[in-house]
Amino acid sequence: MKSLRKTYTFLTLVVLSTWSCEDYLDIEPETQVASSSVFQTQDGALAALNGIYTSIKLKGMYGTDFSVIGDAASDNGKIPSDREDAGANSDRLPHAYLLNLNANTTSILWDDAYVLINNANTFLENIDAVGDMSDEAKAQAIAEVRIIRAYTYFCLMQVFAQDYNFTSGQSHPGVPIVTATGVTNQPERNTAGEVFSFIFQEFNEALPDLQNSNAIDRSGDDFYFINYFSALSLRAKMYFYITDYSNALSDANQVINSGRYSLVSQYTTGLYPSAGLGDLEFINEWAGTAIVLPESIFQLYVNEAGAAITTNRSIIDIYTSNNGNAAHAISGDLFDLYEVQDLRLNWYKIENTDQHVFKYPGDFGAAPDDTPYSVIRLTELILMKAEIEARNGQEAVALELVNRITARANASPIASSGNQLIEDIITERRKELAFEGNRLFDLKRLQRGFTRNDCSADICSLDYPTFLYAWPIPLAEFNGNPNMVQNDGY
Amino acid sequence: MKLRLCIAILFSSSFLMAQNRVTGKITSDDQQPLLGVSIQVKGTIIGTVSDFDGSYTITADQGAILIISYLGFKTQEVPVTSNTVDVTLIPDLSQLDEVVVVAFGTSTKKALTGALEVVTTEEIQTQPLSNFTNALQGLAPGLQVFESNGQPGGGADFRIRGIGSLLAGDDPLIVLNGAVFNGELSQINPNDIESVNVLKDAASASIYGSRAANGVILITTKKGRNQETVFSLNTEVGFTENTNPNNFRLMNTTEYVEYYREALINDGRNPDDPSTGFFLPIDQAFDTDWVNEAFQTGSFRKYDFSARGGNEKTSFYSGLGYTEQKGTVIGTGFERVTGTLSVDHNFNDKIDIGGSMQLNYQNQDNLISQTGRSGQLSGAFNTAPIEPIFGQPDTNPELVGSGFNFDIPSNAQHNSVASAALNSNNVESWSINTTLNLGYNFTPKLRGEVLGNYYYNTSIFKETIGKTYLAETEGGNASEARTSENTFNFVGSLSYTTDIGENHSLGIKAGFETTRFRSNLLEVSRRGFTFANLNDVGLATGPIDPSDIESGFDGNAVAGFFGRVNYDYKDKLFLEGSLRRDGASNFGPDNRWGTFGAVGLSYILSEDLLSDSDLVNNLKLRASYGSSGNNNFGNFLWRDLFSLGRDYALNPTDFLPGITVSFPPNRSLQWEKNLQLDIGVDFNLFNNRLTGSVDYFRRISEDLLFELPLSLTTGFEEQAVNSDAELLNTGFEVSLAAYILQSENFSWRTDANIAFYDQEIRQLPQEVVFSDRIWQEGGRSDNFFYQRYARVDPATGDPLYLDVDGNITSDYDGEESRAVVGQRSPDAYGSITNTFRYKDLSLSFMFFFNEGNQEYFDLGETLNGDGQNFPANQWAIALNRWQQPGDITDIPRVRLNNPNGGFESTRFLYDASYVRLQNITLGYNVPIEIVQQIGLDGVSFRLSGQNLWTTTDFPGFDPTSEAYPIPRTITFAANLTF
Repeated sequence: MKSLRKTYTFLTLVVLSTWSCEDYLDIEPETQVASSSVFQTQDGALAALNGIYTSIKLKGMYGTDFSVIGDAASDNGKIPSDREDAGANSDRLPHAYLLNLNANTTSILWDDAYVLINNANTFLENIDAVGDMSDEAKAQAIAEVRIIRAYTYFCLMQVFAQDYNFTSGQSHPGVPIVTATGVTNQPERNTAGEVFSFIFQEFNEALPDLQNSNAIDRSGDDFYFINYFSALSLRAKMYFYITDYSNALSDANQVINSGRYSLVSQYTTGLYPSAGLGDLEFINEWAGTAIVLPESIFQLYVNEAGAAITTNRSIIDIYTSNNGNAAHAISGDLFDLYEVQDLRLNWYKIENTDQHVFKYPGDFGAAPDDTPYSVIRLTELILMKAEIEARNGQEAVALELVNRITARANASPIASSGNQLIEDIITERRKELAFEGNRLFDLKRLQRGFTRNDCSADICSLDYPTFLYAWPIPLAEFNGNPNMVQNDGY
Repeated sequence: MKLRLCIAILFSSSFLMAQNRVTGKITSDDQQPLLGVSIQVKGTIIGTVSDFDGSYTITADQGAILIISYLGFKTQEVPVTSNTVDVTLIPDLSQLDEVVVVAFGTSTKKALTGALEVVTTEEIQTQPLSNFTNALQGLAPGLQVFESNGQPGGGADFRIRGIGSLLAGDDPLIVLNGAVFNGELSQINPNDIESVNVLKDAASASIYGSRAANGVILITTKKGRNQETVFSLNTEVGFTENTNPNNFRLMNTTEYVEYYREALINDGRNPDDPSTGFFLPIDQAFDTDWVNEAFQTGSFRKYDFSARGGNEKTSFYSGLGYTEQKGTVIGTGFERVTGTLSVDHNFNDKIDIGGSMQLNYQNQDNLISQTGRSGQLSGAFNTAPIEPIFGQPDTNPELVGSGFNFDIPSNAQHNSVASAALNSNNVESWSINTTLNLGYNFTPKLRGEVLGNYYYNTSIFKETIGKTYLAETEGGNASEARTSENTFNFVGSLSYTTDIGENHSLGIKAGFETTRFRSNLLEVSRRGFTFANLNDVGLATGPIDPSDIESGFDGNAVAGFFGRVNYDYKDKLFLEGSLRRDGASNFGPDNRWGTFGAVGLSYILSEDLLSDSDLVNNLKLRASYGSSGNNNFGNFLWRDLFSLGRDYALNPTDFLPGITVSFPPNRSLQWEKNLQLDIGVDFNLFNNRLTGSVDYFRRISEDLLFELPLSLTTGFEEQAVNSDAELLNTGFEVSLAAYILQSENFSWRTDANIAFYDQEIRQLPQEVVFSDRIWQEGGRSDNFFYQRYARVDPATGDPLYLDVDGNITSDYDGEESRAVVGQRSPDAYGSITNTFRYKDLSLSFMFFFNEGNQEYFDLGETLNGDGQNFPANQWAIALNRWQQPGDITDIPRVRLNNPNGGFESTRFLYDASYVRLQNITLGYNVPIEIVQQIGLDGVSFRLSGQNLWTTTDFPGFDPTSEAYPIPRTITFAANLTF
């Protein structure tokens, strides 16, 4: 019987080890989290929300491309003469300046914008399931995500579509509106009109939920998040770029009159240590980890190292001489517009033979490649308002507004009138908002081409209209989407 | 393995009878005593081994039958009729009854229906290598050993019968002593290996089911034996050196300056004008041979001590090994300590247990990979000869106290001598592998077996850039990664063997197997150290970025049920069928399980048709067909996952936890599937003087993993799917052994094998173009895709290329004009080994060849860029450049930043076929009479050389490894047994 006992022991071992195979085969990844767990708790949902904010800083978006294109691809930009062979590194966007656009070089913005949109769609589809989150907090989070998603469509339209007034009924191609997740989606392009009506509908529906909500506490750091006023400011900016000036003025006025933000009254300068170039004089209000503080409405801290997905070429890396790799600089055309006493010349530092952009010097400290980047600030609303008031014939108002901007930079005041005043405000806008990613889109809004006098590219001038104002849809999109139609000219 | 051997011979039941001691002597037909002959009482697990004078003692009943077996001799069954049983064994050159390890058990060569290669301990041990994977080259047709690495301790990768996947891994499954092994093969001391078996076809491998698509390698380590304890002491010392079959060399200062000055002048610069940045006078102070400085003569030391013995009940093997190697590249090396213990115990005739444990410590100094610029050898190859190794303190402000010259322009690379001296790249690891076997004979015909295995490894990878290496490294930096890996294996099986009547026998085996693997990683990178020699990451003073600390996890589990039936008729017709059902954690719950199976048939034709022929002693036909799977890809691809660490930064120190969607999950993901047909012939001809086998295989791989492009508007670029992509691998493998001369004092044996392969993409969802290859239907998956280089235009000195139609053009586009111009895998490879024995002397040498593959010479492109890569040094071949109209040469004119120069093209693609004298071994066994006089049992000496000579068109150091050339190794070894 002893051997029988051993037999049973053996059989028991056999049974035990085959027991519950399915459990045995469930291995949960320990450094990633299942989406079903994400949307169980408020902490998980807020982490997903923060991930969407982080995605605004993806390389294709404000991490690099969308921040750089607006200047590089216009008459503000230039490739430094000691970096003329930067063409090999397409992640430094040499094509933006050279305008040798093709379906292979422009993919990252399109790609990253839709990565952001997919994260937003995923969030919106799952947020209802969260148990321990108040309805107010959910409503606020939903509203923030809808604003970010709609603004991302605006960014896409700025680059991949012609300007709003390109066709009278906005029937020219926009980008596909995708509001649901699904890997089998192969959407067609919506018209520009459809995309903008979607964008404004989203803003209009989301704004009331932001108006009085503080269910998600952002005390002290509110300029890093979408709130009622930053959303209004972004809507003002979008109205302005589609030349709906009366709505733009109305939104801008609401923000300006709210009293939440005040202009930097006077730019001041100080000396800061800079790797390789010694101590340099910078504008204090633009240095540090948070910038243009009393007037900042929405800014991002663009970090190269902290978040793996954001960017591998920080704005600092692209613009300044950091490591000697700067790929973009300021053109003489823009540089020469500043008067010699203009404090804003401290945004530019000479290295070798070129003026490099040091508008975002960062904090010179722990993370020398990281920098804050302003998405929208009160100055932009003031300059919008000034231009609109000038267009409306309110010249005194316009002059008062624009000269607050010139005065704090020690520049001569503007005293013109009529069309010249509008032109002077546009020029002041170009000088003040330089390298904040707007110039190309202002030219599109105004339906103007441009001339580069200080030019090393093959293309030194453009006449409006031009196919180069609507960038090519990337080749990879066509590989996965037979319904996609390319922009004209590519 | 001896325990498992019992299964096959448990044919008759044993009765309890009065037992007595039987003694005897085993001799060969020429009356020489035979040592180590296995004597087994039939139907029992009682066995022993003969000692030095051939004598043995065993407990056996009158009437019992002894099975006497010995490698190279015919196995005999002898009845016990008295207390003394002397046996004379007859040589058997056919080796058909040799026991071989197969999946989940053992078999004999005779009964095999599939294609299997065996590499023995002698073949591995006589090669002076610390990693046995490098020793397998040429020993097993069908096993391709590639991407060999000259790094001490570094191993080779294997591929069995071609490339059967596009995106998933093509590594074979490694099984060590019956348990799936996920560890580093360098952790196994070659001295402890008994055999390495390669399962190539479906019939052999498919019982491993889900993971067998790329073939299986079974490694068996040494076990105890029923014999007087034999102690063995092995000492091996030698040296290693870099090889250079085609005298590859870079320019010296005179040549470099001449060439560079010409480049400057051709670019309109004046090298004699000190006011420009292009001042390069002819007179230079230094002429540094950086490549020579990077290499050194390495050394090899290996000491092994082992004891092996036992009695009828208990046997053991225990070994302790130490290996130390200094690499042929400065700063590299390897050190390893291994310990192994294996014990087998027959508790009674029902129960046997066995346990084994392998412990390993190793410490490896690798090439410096991050100097802030590029790798160590890259620095050696690129840095200009005009740069000195040591700096001039008074003129060099960048000097940081080490004496080295750091004033080297960054585009001319870096001081690799300083890098090797001041930086380090080290891996230390500790591992333990334990296995427990339990066998239980329910009846003599029914046996149960359980195997449990646990493997643990922890490694510390540490790369440091020294504080004094470069000022810009901010006080030095160190990155340290710690990994821990665990694998659990469990196998349970029941086997039943029976004879049905006179002529039929049947074996059935059924069981289950589970494997669970998990690994964790923690990585920390820090900057800023106070003391140059103290660079523990905890001592750093630099700021901490969140990305400086990373963690990782991977895990995988497979569970499967298997069954196998073996049938044979009259020992001449063998039939085998196996089935396996597997579940794997890689796949979603609805698609987790897959079924694989195979059938095999073999027929010994000679038994019927040619039974008494001296011309044909054995002729066996084999055929097998079956399926197997591959789950060698991402472990979590089916899951809906968010990635952590996408934190929203507000400033350098405040981060809000953030997560984003990881990738598009695919819940319908499944195994890749392989269907393989194998047809083979084994033969013994001319009185067993020529033996060999020929195999043909046809392997179709389908449901292949493919990254299907998605619309980017989904938020993803592509999704991993099982596509309709299909690969076809076909091939022939031939192996021959000829006993050319065989006499008392002299023998000559020749072994040769060759394998021919072809691969084709039969179906593909869509064409995929890479920077250097293209996947398209009808082509291979491992091709080279480059624009074709034609020649130098004698009029201008500029390179000419071929366009897509084959017309000469001066336009280089590197895109549309590319063509398929070669392949990475050989069409054929093989080896020839000759072994001579004269009395106590033996000499063996192996030539290995590889035919029909190309290699892109990256280094050649960098160092022969027609002026694109100045001020880096240049390949001396560039001195043959075009200089004036009418010059006929292959090398274009040189010009600084040459707009026409050095593009990727077939100009740098070379035939990488080669013939290599892989190994020579000269051995001498001191005659036994002399040995015994000094109180030992055996003394032998061996002189071995590895990688001695190579001929190839590939111009670099080594056609098989550009990263770290494989060294030539010469060692002297002494072995004592007592």
